Amino acid sequence: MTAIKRNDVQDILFDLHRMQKKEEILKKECHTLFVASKVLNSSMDFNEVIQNLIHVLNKELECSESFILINQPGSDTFQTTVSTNEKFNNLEFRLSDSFERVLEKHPLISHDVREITEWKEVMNGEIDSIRSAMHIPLVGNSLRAILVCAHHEIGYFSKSHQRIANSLTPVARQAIINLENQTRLLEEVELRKHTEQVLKNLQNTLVTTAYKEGFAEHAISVLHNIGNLVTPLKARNDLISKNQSLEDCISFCQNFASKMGSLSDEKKNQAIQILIDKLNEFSEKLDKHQDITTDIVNKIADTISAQQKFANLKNTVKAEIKVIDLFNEVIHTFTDIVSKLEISVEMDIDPMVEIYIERNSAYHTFLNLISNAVDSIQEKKLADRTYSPSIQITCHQDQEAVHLEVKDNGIGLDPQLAEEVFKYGYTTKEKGSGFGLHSCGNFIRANNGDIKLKSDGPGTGASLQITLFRGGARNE
Amino acid sequence: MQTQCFTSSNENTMDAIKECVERCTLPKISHVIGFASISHGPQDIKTCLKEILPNASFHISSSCQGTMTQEGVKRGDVISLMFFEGKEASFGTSIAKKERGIREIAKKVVKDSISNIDRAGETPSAIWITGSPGAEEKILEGIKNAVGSNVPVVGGSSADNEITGKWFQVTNDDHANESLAVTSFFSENVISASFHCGYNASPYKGVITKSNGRTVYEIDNRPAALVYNEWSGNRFSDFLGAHNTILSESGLFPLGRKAGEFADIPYYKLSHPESVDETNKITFFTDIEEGEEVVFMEGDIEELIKRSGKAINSAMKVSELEPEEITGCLMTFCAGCMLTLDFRMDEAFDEISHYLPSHIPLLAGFTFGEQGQLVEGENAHGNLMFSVILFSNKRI
Repeated sequence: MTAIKRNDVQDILFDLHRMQKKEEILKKECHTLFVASKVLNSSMDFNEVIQNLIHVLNKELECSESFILINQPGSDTFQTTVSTNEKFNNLEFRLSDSFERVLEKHPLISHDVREITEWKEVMNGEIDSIRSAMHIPLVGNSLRAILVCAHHEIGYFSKSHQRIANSLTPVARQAIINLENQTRLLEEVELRKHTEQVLKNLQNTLVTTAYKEGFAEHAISVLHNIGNLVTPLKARNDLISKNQSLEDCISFCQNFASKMGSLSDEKKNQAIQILIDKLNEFSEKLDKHQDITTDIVNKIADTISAQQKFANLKNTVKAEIKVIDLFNEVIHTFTDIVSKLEISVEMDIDPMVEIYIERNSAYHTFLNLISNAVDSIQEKKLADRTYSPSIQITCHQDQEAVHLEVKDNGIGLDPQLAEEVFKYGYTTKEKGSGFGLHSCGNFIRANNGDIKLKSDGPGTGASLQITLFRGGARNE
Repeated sequence: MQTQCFTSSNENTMDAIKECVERCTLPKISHVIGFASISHGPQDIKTCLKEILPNASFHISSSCQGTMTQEGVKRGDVISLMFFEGKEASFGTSIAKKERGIREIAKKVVKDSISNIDRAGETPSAIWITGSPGAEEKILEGIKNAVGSNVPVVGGSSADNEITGKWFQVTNDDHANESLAVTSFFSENVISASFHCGYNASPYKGVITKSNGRTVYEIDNRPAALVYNEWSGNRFSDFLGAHNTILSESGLFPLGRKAGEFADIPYYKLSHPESVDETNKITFFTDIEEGEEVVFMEGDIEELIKRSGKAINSAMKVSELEPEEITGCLMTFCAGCMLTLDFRMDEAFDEISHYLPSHIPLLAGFTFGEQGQLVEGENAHGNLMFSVILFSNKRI
């Protein structure tokens, strides 16, 4: 059996005691950290953080005095910011090698501050009683500060003091950085508020401007739509004014009047009968003209009424409308000009297709499409009277959308300009406003749709393709 | 703080130093601490080091009959140098002749070592001292007056081979036989120290009733040597009544003075009896004051062997250092213990290696008195002690 030696027992006891001491030190460090974290985290501003920090450290490390030195960027001096003793306030330390090293994150323990260059210059009055000090760097985002714990005894501070301070300073540093961030955040909030106000003012200006511009746009829209309706009306008036029946009547009457004395009664009766027939024929045409004119005038009235409603900020009413009815109505409006230009209009429209849309605006949109096709044909016809114009209108639907196409064989356009035509003010026509297709595009897109213009180039005609997706507009 | 340590047995001082420097692979040598046999003259050491390492500071002391490094015990005429790289560390040296007013001299030497590297007023991490034997207690007081009591002061009294006063101290400033040399270390990494004796207190104790410095005339009002001989079981009867050196024979039986208590257990500073004379007074390697209580201490070879390793282990435990964190170890190993252990010194080295792997640079000098930091933190001088300082790369 091996005898237990006294020294071995002593070693074990020494180890045990050492561990107890270590535990005490750790407890002290933890306690210091706990107290510091508590007070630092509840600090509301920078001064409170450093005030609390120096008081905690001063108490836990049993220092005589503690204070914080702050170095403003670009300055070669340190000012006492917060101190446990107000007599230490407003001290000014000149930056030299020792403090420079501290700012480079090297803690400095001084057994005798009277030998430290920075301290030599401030050694008078109350501070003259300080003999040793520990300098801990507190370097934050933009912060250049030194925590100073001071004591009246020479060589008071040891590495264990430094260890406790080191364990505490990250909390302090973080608290200071948090405060810096908080301050910056508040500044940014202020800036954001200011920016928001500026934005709001701009928005108000924009709304006012937009309202005015919108008002103007609607006025243009009204004029444009009325213009579209006036075109066929004008064509009809031309037709009436150049009506052969009326001219024939006038010519016959003139001839009859000059020969009336020499005519037999039978001839007179025949002539009167011819005149009556001519007048009847003219009357019929006039009735027909009146119907169409009335229809167009009604459309103009509807247009004005719709714009008035819009101007009154009332929503226009949407309804399920059959596409075929709309197009029949539009083509009817263009009857005379279609006839005059001898345009072949082919409609391949599924009679069951309905769209949920505001009727008057849809009418004007389709009117615009046909009007554009007619204009394109008319321009081509001027150059080539032998060409056979045609407009093809197709419409079908699937589960996702209603697909519409208005295709003409008119003058066409450069494919690269296909997207430009929907921009406000863009026109290829000599007397165009650049509003028609822009307005069509806006309306189609506002109703969850898409509109594209396709052309293989000048002289090859053009196709306007509209897709109205299901659901979007209805869900508004 | 990186270190490397090399030894040369070359009799030519210049060649020996060159050999050590050439083996060193540190990027830059900022400071050198060394132990050398007295066969190398202090003047030569200073001249050669200044020539070979003009930009480094150095601090060399004589050692008794050899040195010890991480490679083992180096017996005979050797020079062992530990090189320090200056990255994240600073080293200040100073030296002064030991004259009257040794406390003030010690204070000044330490302050000079600090101000020499423009760190005036700053507290060093540790202080390494070597001086001629004598007045070590006053030197420690002077150092305490200079920097306070929180700085570990570690070192050893310079030794020669046969106590003939040929010991020496060398720094980059000067060299001397009777002087105090100091290195102040500044480091932001952990430096740990321990100071151990390998002896047990016996039940025999008495009070010094007449003494003068290192000479003790009476214990409990009786001739000191007679009392000491009785406590030892008459081991020294043949030496009584005449001038006799008992340095070697007393190696296992020093007197202890209580230095403090740790865990309710007293620990002691040791005083090594050097000689007796015809009046049966005893001369020691430490001062012993009248009124002090002394205890007869007993040691044994096995315990001394173990104790050298435990001194290292203790320094590691104090600062919770792992071997991989240790970058160097300086040690003063009592020459009396070394002489007592004799050929079994290799076993003591094995004990050290057990705690300190051989890749860690180690330099130990065999000294006539050791200075170190006791368990409760106070710095003390003692005999038959092991004083250790560990450098590390562990941040404070």
